[in-house]
Amino acid sequence: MTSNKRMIFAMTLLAALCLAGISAAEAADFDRTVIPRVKYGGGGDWYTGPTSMPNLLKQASERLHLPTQTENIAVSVSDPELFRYPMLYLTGHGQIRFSDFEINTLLNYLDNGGFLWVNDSYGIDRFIRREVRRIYPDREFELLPSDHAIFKMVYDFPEGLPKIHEHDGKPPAAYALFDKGRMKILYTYESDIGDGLEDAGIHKVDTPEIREKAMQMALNLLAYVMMQ
Amino acid sequence: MYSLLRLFGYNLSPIRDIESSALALAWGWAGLILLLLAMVPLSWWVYRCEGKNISDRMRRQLLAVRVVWVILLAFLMCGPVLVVSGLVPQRNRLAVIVDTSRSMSIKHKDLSRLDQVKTLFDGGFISQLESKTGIYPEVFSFADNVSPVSRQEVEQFNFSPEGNQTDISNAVRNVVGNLGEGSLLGIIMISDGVSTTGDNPAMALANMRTPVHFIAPGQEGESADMALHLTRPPAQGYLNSSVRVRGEVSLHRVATSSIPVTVLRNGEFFTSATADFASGTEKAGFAFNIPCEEEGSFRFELAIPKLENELTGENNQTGFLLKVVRERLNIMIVSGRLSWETKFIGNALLTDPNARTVHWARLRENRWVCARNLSPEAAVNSPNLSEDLKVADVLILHAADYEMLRPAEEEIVRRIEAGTLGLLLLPSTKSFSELGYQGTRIENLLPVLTSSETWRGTPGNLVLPAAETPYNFLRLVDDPIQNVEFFATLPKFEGIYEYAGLKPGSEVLINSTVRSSSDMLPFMIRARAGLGNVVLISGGPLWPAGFRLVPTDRGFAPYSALMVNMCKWLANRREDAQVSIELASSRGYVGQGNNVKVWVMNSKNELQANAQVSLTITDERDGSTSLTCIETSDKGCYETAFVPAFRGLHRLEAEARYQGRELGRAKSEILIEMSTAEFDEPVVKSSLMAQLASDTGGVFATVDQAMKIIGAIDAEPGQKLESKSIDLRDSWLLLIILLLLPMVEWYLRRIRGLS
Repeated sequence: MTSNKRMIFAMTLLAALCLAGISAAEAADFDRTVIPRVKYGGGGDWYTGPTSMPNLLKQASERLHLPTQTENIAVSVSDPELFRYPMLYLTGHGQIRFSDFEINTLLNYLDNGGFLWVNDSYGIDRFIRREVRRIYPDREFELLPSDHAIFKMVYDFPEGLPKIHEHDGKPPAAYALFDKGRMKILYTYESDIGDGLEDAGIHKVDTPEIREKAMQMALNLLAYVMMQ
Repeated sequence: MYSLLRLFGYNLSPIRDIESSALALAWGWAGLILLLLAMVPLSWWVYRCEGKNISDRMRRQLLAVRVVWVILLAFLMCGPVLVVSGLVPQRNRLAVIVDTSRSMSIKHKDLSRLDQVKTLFDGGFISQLESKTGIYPEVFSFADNVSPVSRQEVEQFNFSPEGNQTDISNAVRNVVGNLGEGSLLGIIMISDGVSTTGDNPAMALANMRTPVHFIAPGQEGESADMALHLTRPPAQGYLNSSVRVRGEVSLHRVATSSIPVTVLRNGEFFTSATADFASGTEKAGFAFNIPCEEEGSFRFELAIPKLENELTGENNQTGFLLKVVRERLNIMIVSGRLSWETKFIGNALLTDPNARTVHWARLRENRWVCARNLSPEAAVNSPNLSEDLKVADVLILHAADYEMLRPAEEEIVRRIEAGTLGLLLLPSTKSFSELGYQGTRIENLLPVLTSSETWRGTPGNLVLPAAETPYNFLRLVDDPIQNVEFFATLPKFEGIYEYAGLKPGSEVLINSTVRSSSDMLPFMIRARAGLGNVVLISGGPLWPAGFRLVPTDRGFAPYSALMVNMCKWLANRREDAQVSIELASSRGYVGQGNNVKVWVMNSKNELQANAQVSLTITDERDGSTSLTCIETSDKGCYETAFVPAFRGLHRLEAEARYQGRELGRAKSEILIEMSTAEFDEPVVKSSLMAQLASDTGGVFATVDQAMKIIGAIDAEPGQKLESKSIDLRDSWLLLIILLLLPMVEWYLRRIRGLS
């Protein structure tokens, strides 16, 4: 046997052993959680912060033992696959616009157990309020008090929503839209948790402590959504 | 021998001729020999030789007398009993039993079956029997009860067809018991055999030594008939669910492929169903659903068309009462970690307005969160499972390791086995072995052995068993075939756990298209644990399939309905009230017993033992009866029974008290009707009766041929072999002999000058 053949044989054997090892250790892996970002119209940067959700899902897997799929996935509201995802993430800096069809689909999605997390990266406040009013014309956002359960889930936030990224010097606020006794939309305003979830170094001002706070709050949000 | 025994004064009555006899000794023959061995030397010693010369003749005489006396004494001391057997003449008896059940009112050519019997009697049937046998037959009527009928009543033909059943075996047993001693020449049963209830008459009459003759009024197959039956009509429905009603239509001499069934609710048209007959069949089932959209009692009446000249129209309609109540459905979910599975199930369950959920999930070490009705609360360091478990009807476990359940294990197992808690196990990323279930009491409840668990990440579809499922929660589509097809079209699951085999008594509810070496791997398996149910789902995920189908508005999407209905089944559905009445059926029959269960809970929604429960039943004439309910072995369950005397709506009101304090009241209703069993299959059962007659040595005849039965009756007086035991000591003559023998011996000695 030549050295090349010996090499090929060894690699084949190694591969076979690896496969056998995987087969033996095979375990159930079917309820992987994915949180896609919403691809909306209107011109806003729906794609901002691409590492936020993968980082959150990775930490959810490590800290909460939640099986996740750590990919940055985007989904359009008109996509039938929308109903595969129990939670949607919407962020950006500008204009947001949904078509009538998308509004109806989003309403159907939220009424059937879905959840929408809107993260204000900066400048979407006016637009998201307008679009949400189109979904639920008879409902208003409610400011969550600091003793709300969402701040006492995996981690305690006695002061309420943490401030992650400074924009206009306003205090952070968590607005929720409740319908039929269930929180359907959470709008984190003047906090920018999404920024804090991104890879280290992307936002120089986000210290490790700040980024940990953002991760903890996002995990709280995830846990709350999963329980309702 | 007879004369000899009479001479000694023994009472041999009623034996007149001795056929055989046998002598027995209470001490046995060995006892007699031993007694003789003791008495002979004693006698020898007592009667010493005196040395005087007497003749040999005299010596022999004296010796004979002494020996006879000793033997006789020893014999009597041993307790002799003579068993004699002989023939005893019997008094002849003959019974005529007339069926007075309601089916005897069915008319054939303007004459009812009972009218035909009257014609037979008017034609001198009874008097001819009397002339043939020399005795007047004893006449009985039978239906619900067997009653003797006097000669005067027979002559006036005082029979009316009002009975609700035809129990042939019970009638024959009763009549034989009533007749008492005598030679039974035969039993003549006049019946249409409709509808035979009670013990199998073929078995009951198999050991009869008396011929049973049958006379059948009515001509088989004379008219066409259609009959409507409800197998077991529902008594109770639950708000926002549906109740399935099943029935059957049977035909006799009617050629058709389908029969429409009209359903009225409270007198108004509700729906219609169709019984479709396969070629050559005379019975076909039908089914329909009743959606329970509002609380209350509803009277349903079902009817099929009536044919011209139909045998009877009494079996063309039926009815039942349905009470729709708010249901108690407390679901407790315990998760070892967060998952979309439990989120989906929670959302599906809360589509039912009666459901209440509590979900405990471990977020991380020493950090638990509880969501009540999907509303999360602030996290706590340790869960308080026991309080929620007390009121739970169903426990759902997902990735819950054994250590979490250990404190509540005994309560969980006890309640499942008592049937007050259902258990649903969902698959998770950890196998049951990894969760520590192996060798625990919880593992004993599962339908599989967890040691053989392996995960197969093979996608597959759901497959219902080919035969129609008996479980309502698996019947999402009315038509059984379409239902099977529907399950196959449900979205795929991504993987499944494979087990070496099912434990005995386990049952596959849903299969999968994933195959092991030969068989399909089960997706949903059921095990029975005591009175409770355990369901294990071995494949997943549930949520991507289910989430898409979560109900919108008021409609129930099938996949969610499957989960909700399964939980209701697991919960052993009960009314959400502190006191509730449970009836086996909302329909009862006059003269037949009805069991009523009353469930009692205290203010904490715990089943209450040692309560005093009374039930008041009021009929349509405002006559009321109060009954005390007896506590059963099921905690919180009290039971009583009542037999209604009148038809119509009966109102039931239960009152429960505990330590003098009222716990609550419950009301219910039951519809009492005359039983239609006699008309379900009204055709004369000629072949059954001919078989029974043949088995007992009797004759079967129609009314027209009834005289041949008179010819078949053997009128010879009967004799009976009887045995009698006679205690031979019980004789004055024997006593006198016993006393005379010593006197004779003494006399003989004295006349010879002996001392």
